Amino acid sequence: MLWFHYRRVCKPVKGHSAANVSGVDRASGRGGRKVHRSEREAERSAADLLEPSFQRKLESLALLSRRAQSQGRLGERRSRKRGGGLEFVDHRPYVSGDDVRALDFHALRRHGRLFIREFEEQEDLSLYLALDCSASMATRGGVKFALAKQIAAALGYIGLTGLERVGVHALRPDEFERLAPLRGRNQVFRLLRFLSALEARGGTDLIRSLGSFVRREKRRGVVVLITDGYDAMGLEASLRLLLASGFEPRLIELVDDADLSLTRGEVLLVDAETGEERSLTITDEKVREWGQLVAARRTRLVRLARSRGIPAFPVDVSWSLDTIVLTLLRRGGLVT
Amino acid sequence: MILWVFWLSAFGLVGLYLLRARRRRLVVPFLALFMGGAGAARAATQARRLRRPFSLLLQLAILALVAASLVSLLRREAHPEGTYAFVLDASATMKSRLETESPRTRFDDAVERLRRRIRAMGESESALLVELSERPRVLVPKTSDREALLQALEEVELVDAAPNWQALVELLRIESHEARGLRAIVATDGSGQPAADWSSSHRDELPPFRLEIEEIAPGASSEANLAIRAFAARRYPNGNGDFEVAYEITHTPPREELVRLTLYRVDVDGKKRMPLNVEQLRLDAEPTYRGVLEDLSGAFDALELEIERESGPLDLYRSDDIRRATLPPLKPVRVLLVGSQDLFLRAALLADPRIEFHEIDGSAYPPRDQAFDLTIFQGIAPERSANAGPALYLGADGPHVPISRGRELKLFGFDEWDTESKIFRHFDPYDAEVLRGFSLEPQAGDRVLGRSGRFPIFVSGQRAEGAFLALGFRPDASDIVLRPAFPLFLRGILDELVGLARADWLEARVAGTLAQLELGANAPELVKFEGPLGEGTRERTFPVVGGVVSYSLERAGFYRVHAASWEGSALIAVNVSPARAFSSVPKDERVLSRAPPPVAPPPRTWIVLLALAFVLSLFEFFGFHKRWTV
Repeated sequence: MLWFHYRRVCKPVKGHSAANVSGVDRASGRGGRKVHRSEREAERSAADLLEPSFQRKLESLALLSRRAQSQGRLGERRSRKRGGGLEFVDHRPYVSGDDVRALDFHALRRHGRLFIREFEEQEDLSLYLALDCSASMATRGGVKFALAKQIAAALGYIGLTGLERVGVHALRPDEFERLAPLRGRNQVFRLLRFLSALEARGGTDLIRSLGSFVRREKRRGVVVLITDGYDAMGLEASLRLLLASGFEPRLIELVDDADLSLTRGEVLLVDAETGEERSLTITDEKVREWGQLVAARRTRLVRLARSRGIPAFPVDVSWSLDTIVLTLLRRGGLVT
Repeated sequence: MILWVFWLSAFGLVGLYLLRARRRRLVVPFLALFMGGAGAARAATQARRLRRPFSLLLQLAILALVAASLVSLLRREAHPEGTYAFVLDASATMKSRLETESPRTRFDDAVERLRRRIRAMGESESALLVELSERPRVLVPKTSDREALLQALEEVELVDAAPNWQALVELLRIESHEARGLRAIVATDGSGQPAADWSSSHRDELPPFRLEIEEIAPGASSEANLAIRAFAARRYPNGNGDFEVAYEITHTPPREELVRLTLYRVDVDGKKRMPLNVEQLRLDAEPTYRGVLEDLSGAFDALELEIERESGPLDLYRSDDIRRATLPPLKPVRVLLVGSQDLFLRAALLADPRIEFHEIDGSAYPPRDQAFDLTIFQGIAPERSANAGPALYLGADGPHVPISRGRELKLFGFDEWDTESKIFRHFDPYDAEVLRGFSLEPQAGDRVLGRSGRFPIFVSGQRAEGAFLALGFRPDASDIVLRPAFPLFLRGILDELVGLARADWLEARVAGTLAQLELGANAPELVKFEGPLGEGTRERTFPVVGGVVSYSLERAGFYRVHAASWEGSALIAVNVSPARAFSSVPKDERVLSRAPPPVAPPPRTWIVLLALAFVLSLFEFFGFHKRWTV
């Protein structure tokens, strides 16, 4: 059922475009195309990403960030900064220049000394959903891409309902498609429409795509990179880039075992992204060998992520969205 | 056919490679995932370019090997392994009995052995049956039909000739060209010219096949053998049928023993024989004994001499205890007397029973439809045609006399005569008196047999009409006719011109050897040899070339030579091969030990080729495709 669900969700729609979504920054300059799909259909497609019952489950969740971000507006997220928040933290002796409004007169009356009441300053969290939109995500009917959009929608929904700033970036090497950070629960629909309108096409160059992302987003925050990891340069460099740029990366790697389940014999393999062709003889031994290579690569990636404190979540595309979000990501500490 | 299939397949294979195999297209999300990394894929590009041509070469090699294997297999099927040549020794010594009391012979044993061999043949094996004799021959060509081989084996008959090993080896050498890996199994007693002797003297000509010899009765316990090695007979010259025979006897081992020698007269049909002479001989320790039986008579023309021990065991080999011979035939002589009648001459001619004479006048010459061996012209000499035959001129004068007349002679005699001439062997003309006559003038090439003084009076010569003898006087004009030796003088003349009696020893032919018989100018083109007279008589036809027939008979006995369009006939005797040609005693050593080394059977090439093709296929499979197709 899940398979058919994904197929239905990710079925390409002629004339589909995200240009009608407000706040969309068309870096590719191909904006302004006519909209052929009705608003209702768009809403229905967006609703398909997150079913209402699942949305209610998500409302009880909140994003976890390892450290508070120093930029941005006040929000509901605790910050290390002491300031004008509502949550009392501690007293400290008054020094010259302190805001007299923070004087604790009860303590002055009791102890005869001036004390300043300190409050924890609360900030909002910037959540960036970096979605790999290369053509490799659309293979096998777009199972991976549909699941990626669903995961992104779920995380975005959690972020918006937690009054976080949620932005979406479609990672493509040659074009920059972005949903500017949104804030507020009422922006959920925009987020879903944007995600629903995304298409997987082109090649994969995460370094280049994330470079554009880093240059554009001045406000640092949590970056959830959702990808199948099929990048010739590997994911390690991309994660290092995000870390070096002050972002807090999270990695959700979509794994489809069917990618290696090829028909045995003489075949002509065609790269979904580059169109490159190679003749090959598929044997059980080779499939086994490839499986071992992929597993080793994945292990290496997880180790790297752990060494850098980056939560990494290999997600099998056969898992349900409930399992992924409510169990995997929750246990992994991405959401709480 | 296979080559055609190979070439078609090869072209098809190349075509498939040229067209490239149609591969299924599979869209994969990340090609580098399957190339072991993009760098590795690029590094293998050069090697990949050579993979397909090398794979094609390998496939063609495999195809060629399979084709060669098929060709080899088919050739092997055409010449299947296990081709035998069963050789049955049918020579004379195979008649020897295995034991004195048993009628079973070495030939019976040999047939039984080969019979077992033939029955033990496998379904895929084939064999040919060869008879070993003086002229070995293939009785049954190569076949897998065991019944045909057995039937032919039962029909083999013994001959009285010696085995010809060299001819056998040559025959098998020819057969081995058609049947590779030939195994010749010879059932023989090895008592002829054995293979051991042959192979030792022809080491450089060892046959290209395996020669196995199964010896019958090797090292037989009884080596005793009594044999007549030679037997010949001759008529006494002018003996009117009297004759004598000579013989040579061998006995092994040489020891004193008493034997009985019996000479038989065989009638013309060869069916009956009557003893003419019986002698008892005591042989001493010498291995050979020679003797002559003289003053014999009562035989027509066929004789048999048989030897037996008076005591002791019988010979195991009996065939050489009997030998045959023929006497020179008593040929009748037809004489024509032309001219005045002479009672003395007629009386002298009547003294010899073989002479038949006919008298005519000179005017009746030549007689019609009659042929004569000799013409005697008395006083006259009519004209003769060419090839009219020999003639005797007695005082004949005239233009048709082949020699010119000289001067008139009176009261003369023979002062000189040719003593070497058989005419004067029994007649001495020293004191002969002649009343009148004339001398003769011989031509070049003529031979003067007698002279009176310096004048030739008796001359022989050769003319177109034929040979002649000319006497310079009529016999009745002399006192020669009054002498008792006149008939001998006249027989000497007839013997000179016609050949009345042969005094040579006449020995029989040897079975299996090529012999010639002179039949004369009037012989037909084909003559039949009927014999051996007696039981089992058969007829064989031989061509006559130039009055001579060449023949070879393998069975001993008397043979009559005749033809439907030929008045003449002849009787010849054929004996077993003389004992000096081979020993009747089997060799006491295993001939196999000296037999040529067996030739290794040809390798199963098709298996090697197929195995090689399989190995290449495995290599090609694991090295290129890991599948069995292009």
